Amino acid sequence: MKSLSPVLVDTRSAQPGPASLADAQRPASSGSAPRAALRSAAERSALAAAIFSGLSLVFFFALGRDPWLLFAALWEGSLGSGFALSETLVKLSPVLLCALATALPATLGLVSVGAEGQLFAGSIAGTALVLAAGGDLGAATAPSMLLAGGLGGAAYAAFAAALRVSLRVNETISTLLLNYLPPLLVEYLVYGPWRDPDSLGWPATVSFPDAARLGTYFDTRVHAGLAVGVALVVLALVLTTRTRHGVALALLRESPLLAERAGLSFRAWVLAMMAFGGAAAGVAGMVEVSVIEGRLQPGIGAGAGYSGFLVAFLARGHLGRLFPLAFVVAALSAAGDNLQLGADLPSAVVYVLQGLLFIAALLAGRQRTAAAGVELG
Amino acid sequence: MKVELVGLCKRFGAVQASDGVDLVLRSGEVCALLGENGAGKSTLMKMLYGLVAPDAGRISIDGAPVRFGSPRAARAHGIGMLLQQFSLIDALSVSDNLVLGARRVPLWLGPRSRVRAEAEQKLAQLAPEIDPRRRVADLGPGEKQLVELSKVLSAGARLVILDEPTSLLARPEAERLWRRLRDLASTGHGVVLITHKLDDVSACAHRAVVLRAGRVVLETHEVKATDTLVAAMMGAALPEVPERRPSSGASERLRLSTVSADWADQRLERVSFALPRGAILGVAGVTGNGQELLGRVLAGAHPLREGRLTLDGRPLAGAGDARVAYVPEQPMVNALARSLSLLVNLQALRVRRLPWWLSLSGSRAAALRLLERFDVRPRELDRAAGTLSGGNAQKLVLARELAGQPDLIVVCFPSMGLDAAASRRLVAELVVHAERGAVVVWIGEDLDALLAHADQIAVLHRGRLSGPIRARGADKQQLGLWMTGAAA
Repeated sequence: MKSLSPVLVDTRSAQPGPASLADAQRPASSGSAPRAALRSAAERSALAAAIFSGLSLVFFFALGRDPWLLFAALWEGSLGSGFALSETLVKLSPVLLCALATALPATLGLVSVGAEGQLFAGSIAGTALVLAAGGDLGAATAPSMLLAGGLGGAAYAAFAAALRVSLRVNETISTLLLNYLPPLLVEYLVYGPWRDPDSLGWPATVSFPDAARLGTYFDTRVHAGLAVGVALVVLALVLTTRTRHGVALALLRESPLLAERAGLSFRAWVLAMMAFGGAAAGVAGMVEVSVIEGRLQPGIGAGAGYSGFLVAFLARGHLGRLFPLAFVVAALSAAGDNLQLGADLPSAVVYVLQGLLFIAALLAGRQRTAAAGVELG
Repeated sequence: MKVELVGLCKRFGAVQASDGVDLVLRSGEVCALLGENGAGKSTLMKMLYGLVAPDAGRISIDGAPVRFGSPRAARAHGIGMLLQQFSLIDALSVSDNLVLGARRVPLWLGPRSRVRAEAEQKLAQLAPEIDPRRRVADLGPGEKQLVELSKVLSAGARLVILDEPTSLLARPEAERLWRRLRDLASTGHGVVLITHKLDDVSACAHRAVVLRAGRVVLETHEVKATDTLVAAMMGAALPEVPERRPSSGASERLRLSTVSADWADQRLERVSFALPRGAILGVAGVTGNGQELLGRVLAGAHPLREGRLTLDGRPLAGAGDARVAYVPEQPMVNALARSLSLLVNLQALRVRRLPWWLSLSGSRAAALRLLERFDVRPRELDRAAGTLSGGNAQKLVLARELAGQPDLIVVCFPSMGLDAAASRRLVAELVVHAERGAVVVWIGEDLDALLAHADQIAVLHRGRLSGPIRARGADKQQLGLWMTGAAA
């Protein structure tokens, strides 16, 4: 049962779990043999939630605060009110898009951690378009801006992909290291050539014209970026489970020799999937610039690239799980703002909680018996 | 030591893998557990080894009931198992691997530690020819298996279960293993040999237990009564292999001229031969002499360093050449996608011509007929290929590759994991294709099977090919010399 075991793709996907292609096409008779030996996805989720609650409790105790008050603050800050829910949805959009940026390469067995860099690369490309065009593009401004952002992220991701297919540079290392560049480039730009001369030293570009601001809904900050994110995830889900492209991806991931005999080019697919993922992250960057800040400045996205990686990891290669998991992570992130403002805790609390979630998922995913015991015969 | 299994049951979905099995295992005895693919042999032993939890039934050791939640618990009771996959760490030395498997490992492990000395001593008893300082990656499959066995013994196993241990071995290596297993039994160990090969049983077992469909159908000490055993395994007669008409003066189809290639630690050196229409060439050799690479080269899936390969006068159009059917070694990794259904795997080679929106309902009937023809079990088109047993995975690949009208058929270790009936069916399919005019290259492990069914035979040793010569009347001694590289 040896197989390449990418971190993000559940190598047990031939077994339970509704989102493997074989199951998705006919859920009635999923592989039944190993079910007894392995925890189902629902059991794993419940277990992870329980472990996460326990770990958080310990963490809050260690902070020397009343944990129940902090749990209450978490709830109030994420889902407890209409405003809190809207803020969670605002955070959801970049996290979801960045999760896609990790999950798409993972369908080939690649482990990309480059969403953060791609997000910034996209924001630079989109901002360049807005600054160059001003308001000249009219109603086409916002779509072209998002398109430019996507292309920027895609190009940046394709660079790492090209290193992989031409020089065999491990994509995890290259994407990780390439994450440092674009944020520094943004700083250079907003302190230097792109700085708004009227900003009195504040490092940012000029405010975007209205045509380059995405619309918000219901008198909240919930914006069109969320719809874009959901649409892209659904599109990816449909393409990978219902069309022949999903078969191609499974062949490339699970049996390179068979894929080669079927005429599939691993290089081309690596470039494509990395670029599609980068495009999603690039769009996320541009959405953040356009909606949240209204101009390019350092620190956009608030670490959405890494939150997205966490989501993709938790989803174990199942694109259908990206939305609910991204929602959880976004809720934590929104609640963190509340903890920071209301309970006077440092903002790093969010990252600690995300880390605890990661550990909880790892513990819940641990199997008691080796998976070697599941073959018939 | 006396291990008793009473009424063990295990159901996997619709399949009753174990259906109330009673079995007694004793020290000092080699017990062969015989059965076809999917008869429930491995499942039964995995229940004993704590890998699979039984639905019902009980296990007792020397009269005391036990319950194993994990292999670790089973090992603590003196039960050890060699699974079909090796569990050695390639990058470490043999000695390091043995120490890792030992029961109690001290924090500090010097080169002179007692644990290491004991482990190396065990190895020296079992396999004096293996230098404990060698890296595991440099060992052949037979040697790895002995290291694995030594590791299990170091961990204190008194009952050793081996799952299809000879499927990876050439004949001389298998004979060596048989002797070792008899020796183990004579020193008071219990040995369980899971197998579907009658050779294993007649050469080494004291007792044979035949399983069919999860039940014990025969238990006998007459281990050489081959016909009785086959009848019990099959519950029916073996399929017939069609007669071959001798072909003479047929036109040439496949030609290799001074073909050389490299791949990882394998190489081919100036391999040349030509085969006429309808020929079956058997390529024998000890494992690890370039067999897998030869398969890839013939299938167009590996570039040549030098030389030329033509089929009907034309070179192959890469790995995707539709004229070639290719059954590579290790089907689960090399020829199937585990997460895809059987139905999709049968269509995998035409993935670029599948309808964009996957609707394969039109091909279900034909696919189901293929599963029937090649006896892939269970016959569930929507099951994920990764849930098949090794033998059924191999049958699924054969079903896909041999369904069409290929001009060249390359099969590499095709009968690995296949039981007697499936092996016979494979031969029958190959013969039918040869009669139609296809060229068959059968890279095999079992010299007798190759001699029985091929027209020509060649031997691969360190990437060099000796022969081909006519299979009928071939001198086995000469072939044996070629296999050891004595005279090419």
